Amino acid sequence: MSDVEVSRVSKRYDDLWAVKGVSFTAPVGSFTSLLGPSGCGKTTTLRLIAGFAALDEGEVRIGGRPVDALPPWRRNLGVVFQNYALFPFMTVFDNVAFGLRRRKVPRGETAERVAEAIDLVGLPDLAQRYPRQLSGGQQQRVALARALVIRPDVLLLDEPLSNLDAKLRAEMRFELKRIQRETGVTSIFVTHDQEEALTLSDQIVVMNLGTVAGAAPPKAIWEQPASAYVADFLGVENLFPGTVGDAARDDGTVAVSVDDSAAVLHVAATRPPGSAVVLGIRSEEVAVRRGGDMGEMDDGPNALDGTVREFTYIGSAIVYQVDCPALPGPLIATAQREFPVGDSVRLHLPPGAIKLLRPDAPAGGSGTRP
Amino acid sequence: MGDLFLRSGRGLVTAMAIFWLIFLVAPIVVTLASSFTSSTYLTFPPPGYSVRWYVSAFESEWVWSTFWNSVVIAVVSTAIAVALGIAAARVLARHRFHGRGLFEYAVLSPLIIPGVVVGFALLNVSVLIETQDAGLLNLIIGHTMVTTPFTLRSVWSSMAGSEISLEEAAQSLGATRWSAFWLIVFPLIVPGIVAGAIIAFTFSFNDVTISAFLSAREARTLPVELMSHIEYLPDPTPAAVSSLMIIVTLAFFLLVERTVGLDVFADR
Repeated sequence: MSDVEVSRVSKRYDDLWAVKGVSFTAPVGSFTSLLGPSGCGKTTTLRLIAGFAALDEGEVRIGGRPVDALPPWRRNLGVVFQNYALFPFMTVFDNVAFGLRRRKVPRGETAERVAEAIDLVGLPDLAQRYPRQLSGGQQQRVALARALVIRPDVLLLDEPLSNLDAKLRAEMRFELKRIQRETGVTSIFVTHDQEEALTLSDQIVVMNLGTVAGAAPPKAIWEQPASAYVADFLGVENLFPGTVGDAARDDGTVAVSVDDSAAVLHVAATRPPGSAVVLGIRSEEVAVRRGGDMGEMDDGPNALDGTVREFTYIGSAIVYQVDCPALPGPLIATAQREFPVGDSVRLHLPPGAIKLLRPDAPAGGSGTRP
Repeated sequence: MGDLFLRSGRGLVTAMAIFWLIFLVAPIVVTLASSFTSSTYLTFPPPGYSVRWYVSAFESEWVWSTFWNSVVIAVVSTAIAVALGIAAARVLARHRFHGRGLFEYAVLSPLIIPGVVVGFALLNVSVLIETQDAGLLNLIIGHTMVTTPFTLRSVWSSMAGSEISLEEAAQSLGATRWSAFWLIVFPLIVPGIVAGAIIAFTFSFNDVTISAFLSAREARTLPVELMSHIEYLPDPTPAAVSSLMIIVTLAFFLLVERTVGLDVFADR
């Protein structure tokens, strides 16, 4: 087992930086996710660690040892590919044994370790089958067994769950977690799915435009995203640029005016007056009730009137898109109660639920030009 | 409406089948039949039947010497074309580089340029570099040039793109670049190699246009010799040789389909 240190790593394709100055550390035995949209440089970063591509700047250390001069076959890493990359003309046994045979492991030990690995990943007795005779989930497990049987220093996973259907994906997520816990192998996992990253990781590295936009444990990144981009990627539906008003108020809140609108919202935070911020609030934190209904809720400072533009039923709740004249764009809110399209509603944004985020470049897919 | 469409489609297929019979199968049948003639000149239908022209073919020195020339040229040029095809296909499948499109067109151009032009151009080049008397060498170079597009295309299409991650997977598991190619990529592209090699070999063995320009006195291919024989002499020996070539080619394809064909294309 080894840790992985990625320091100021850059990779350029022609005149486009796929990765620019990326740094993070994956501690021994940890599970690190590289999260971001396609083209953000997460897969390139993984390929640089694996040695499939040569980096232009920076350094990768595995177990404290720089590996940049080593070819992939000398790095002792397990790699699981998005398309599994199983050798189609080899049986499951031969696929899993491939790495051991390259290492000249004796025949008897090979058979033993292959059986162990197949058992570890929870595969039934399929050793003599060919990959095309297996289901997607089984192929996934073979790919994992093949990568783990060589006892790699680090396990690299490139969107391994994205080709599975929803049910299987959820199941494999638990399986991945169990296997990683049982083997204790340092793992680096590339994904564009925030839920996968949150459920699996000890650390999430959010990437944007070839750079690191934020890195933190799942709970921290969920509760206090480093920037508006990170918040956007972690599913904060409502993001509005704003400016902090003059003075802090007695109740520990600041008044923040939403840009391009008349709305002023109170937020439980402290920021110097005049700071440019992005206000963020998750849909489920927004309270929705009927317009003009003076029910159980007291009109706080952050009450807004609006009209239901559209709604979608998601089973556990209803997600509303509400037009608020006071805001520059529609607000997304989640509620249990049903309101028809065109209904007047009153929204309440609790001061403690609004996050003040650092503004940054808008979410984007392609790399930056040097 | 749909019925009409279907019916006219069927009519088209029938018409195509009839055309195919008339223009491709009929000449073969005529050649085969007239090769068994008993007369001393080519006629159809033959006045009587005999195998005398087959005996004549086997006893003719010119048939044997040019046959061996053709075999050597076809084997060597196919081998080179396969090697070049694999190398070029790997470059095209894996790398994006400046001039990639140009490279692709340059390699594939012999498919578009008429054989007469290629043959004439190659003849001029060989005169320029004073190798016009090295007939065998010129023929091998010429045939390699024209058949490499076939091997490149078929090898390239057998590299479906997945072989890149397969190769990387093999490397991550401890296989060097070389062993990853031989253990993983090569078995995957064997069908493409076999298919390309068959086309290249058949093309080289049957080619007249390019070979006519490049054949020197001492190095003529069988089809070129057959053509000049037909031009100057009326005897039906060429018909017998042609029939043999047809039969051997058919047998060759059957053999490939029965052995390599079924073995290689299954289990994947």
